[in-house]
Amino acid sequence: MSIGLSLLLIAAGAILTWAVSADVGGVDLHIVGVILLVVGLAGLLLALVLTFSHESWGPRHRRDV
Amino acid sequence: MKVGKRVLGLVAAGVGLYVVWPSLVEIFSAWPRLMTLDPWWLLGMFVCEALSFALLWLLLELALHTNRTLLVASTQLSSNAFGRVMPGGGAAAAALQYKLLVQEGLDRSSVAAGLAATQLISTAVVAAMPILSLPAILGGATVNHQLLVTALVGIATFALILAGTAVLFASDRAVAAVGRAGQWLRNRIVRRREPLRVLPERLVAQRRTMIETLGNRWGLALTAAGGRSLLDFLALLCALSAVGTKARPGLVILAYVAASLLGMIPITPGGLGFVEAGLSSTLVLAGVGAADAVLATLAYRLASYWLPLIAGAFAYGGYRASFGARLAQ
Repeated sequence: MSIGLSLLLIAAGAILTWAVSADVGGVDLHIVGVILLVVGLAGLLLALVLTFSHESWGPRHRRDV
Repeated sequence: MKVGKRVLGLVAAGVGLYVVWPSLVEIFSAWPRLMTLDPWWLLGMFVCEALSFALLWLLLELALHTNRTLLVASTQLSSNAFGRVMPGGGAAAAALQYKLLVQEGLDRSSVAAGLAATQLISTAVVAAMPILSLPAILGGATVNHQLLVTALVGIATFALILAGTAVLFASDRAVAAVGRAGQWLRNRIVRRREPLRVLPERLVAQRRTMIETLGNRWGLALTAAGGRSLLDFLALLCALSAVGTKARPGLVILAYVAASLLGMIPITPGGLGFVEAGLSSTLVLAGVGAADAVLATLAYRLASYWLPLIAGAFAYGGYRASFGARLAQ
């Protein structure tokens, strides 16, 4: 899961959790929002770990000692 | 001269703290009530804040054109903590971060341009956040006058940064013209020091480095900067939920932006006292009860101010152990 997609999930989850007050029959939108938030945060954590552990951009400026 | 400035800074910090002391005491007296907060939302708050810092490190890595995560994270945490104990902390933090990164062999002009780019993008994103509150305002939410002013200040700051960035990216000549104007103004105002002579050339060189640095990775840099502010804001929403209160997020954004702007005022270290007083009172304006606003502010500042301060001390120790030892060799 990419960083952008994770942030999108987090934003959608946040909107459902805090900004929506509508009632949909049989669906608790707040719970859905919290689930999206948790999945998004876990995805972001994973994406960041993968990004930090890969040499995915630019040349390294590592000093040879 | 330096001693005079330091004394002046300390006096300003003292006066600033004296002014906000009653609010600070009120907020810290809510400390025992932290135990009554919902632990799951508190956990969410800490996770959001930690990921917000991680996204800042990603942004710094992109801007500094390096992937030495440990170095970037330790220098950022150390300088961030330093800036939170020194009056006028933002400049002191940037100077320390620059010094630590250059000590470790990163190119001076790349570091200067990278840190400037990071600061520019981060400030632009925070300033743009009031735009997100427009749906709530246009949707008919009753907005307090002070919050509305905050929104307008944020949007105006964003427009200024946008205009500045447009000039920066437009051409060397535009940047050189800005540099000449700045140089002329500085030499007119500060006559005691040696006059500046190469500011336009330096700015043009920094512009080229900055464009080269971010280059085609500006999309990821913008995502990281936006994500950082989003998660920091979500940490505040988690703090409010932990308290058990509900406010309209569209209006809480304005309280958050107001607190962020107050944190940039270099009177007390890290805006200590000003942010607490400002955030709790603007949260009240956004519809949160006074006692809940105080408690949520305390919880949020615990994650965004105090814990990073402690982490910074450990990070500096880690920096000295990992990199300082090699430098000594």
